[in-house]
Amino acid sequence: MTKIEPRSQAPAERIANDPDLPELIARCQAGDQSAFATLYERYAPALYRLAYSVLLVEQDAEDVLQESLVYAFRNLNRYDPARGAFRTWLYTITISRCRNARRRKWLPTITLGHLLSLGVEPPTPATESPEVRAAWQELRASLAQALHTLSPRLREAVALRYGQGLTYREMAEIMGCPQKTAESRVRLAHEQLRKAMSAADQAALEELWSI
Amino acid sequence: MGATMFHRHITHLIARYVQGQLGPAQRAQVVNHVRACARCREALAREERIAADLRREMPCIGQPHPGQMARVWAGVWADIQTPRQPTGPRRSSWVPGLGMALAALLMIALALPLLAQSGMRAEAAPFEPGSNLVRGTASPTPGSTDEALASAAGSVSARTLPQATVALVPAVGASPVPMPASTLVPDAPTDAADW
Repeated sequence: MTKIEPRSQAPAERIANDPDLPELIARCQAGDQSAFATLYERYAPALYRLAYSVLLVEQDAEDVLQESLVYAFRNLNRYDPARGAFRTWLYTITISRCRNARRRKWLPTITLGHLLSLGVEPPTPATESPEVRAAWQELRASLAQALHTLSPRLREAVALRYGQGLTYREMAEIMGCPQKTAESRVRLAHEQLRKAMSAADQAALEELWSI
Repeated sequence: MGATMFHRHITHLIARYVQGQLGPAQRAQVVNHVRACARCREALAREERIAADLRREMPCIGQPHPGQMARVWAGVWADIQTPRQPTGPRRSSWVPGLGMALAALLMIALALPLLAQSGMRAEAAPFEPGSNLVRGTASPTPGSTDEALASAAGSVSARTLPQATVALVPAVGASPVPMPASTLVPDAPTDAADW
């Protein structure tokens, strides 16, 4: 069974350094199941997070993840290392599938509780006091709610920038737009998130930062 | 100078500053300004906090759980082992059908007005060999048009034709479908097709 990568071991830098990638791809092309599994373990969690951050529906994100990886695994010969990193190629496929999913389906309204219970794990360390944990929880809820108010393109930008830690150049390549557009989408998203977060949330935020 | 600098707030630069989208000169402008301006300093602090929150919280949104990853892997592996057409089943099953239906609708939409027009023409102006002769000579030189009109009209001179007839010639040329005089020029004499 697949081994799930712990969150702390999955920063963008770790994914970017893939010295064994050519060998893995060659083994995949030879039909080696363990090579496919290795690629899956390495990339699937980040791709799922990306799809979920954009679509905000668990089932849709799973469908997109499966479609994206099936496409990528069937078309490994199309990946050209000269054109960009492997993960950028995978993110491009995933974003494209997210857009298709949105076109296919009118996204249902989901409750905040549903959103939080499905996708968000409390990252706060156990050593933090209950008050601080509660404050972070509140902040997270507020952010998640605010995310829901963003347009799909702006949510893509936030998910790629903050969720995956990509550069604007990588984002532009993945979203298929000029770098300046990627920059302005992040800026607009920022602006809208700030407005979407209520005054009460802002006050809680201030309090949290003062602790 | 100091007062001018103070009043020229840099709120429009704050988001770009936090996002690292400013050049060195504008970055320096922001840094220098917030030293003196409490309002912009507060706005910058707020923006930086939101950015920090996003950096902290976004990676936590959509963390998959082991059951999910195992379920999707089973689907992926089953899928890549199954030989399949290059295009996905959903796309191949409905997109061509939709395309053909749209094409058929478009053709009907284009054909209906033409059919309706031809029906109206057939009722309003039955086929007249003389009228075709006039239209057929509409584009050459004015002299030849005059001759044709004169020969078709017999004793009627082209110079004495009613105004509506002169207007008819370019109108016929401009339309993709030859239009009878009665449908183009309501005031034209009903016997215009006899020319």
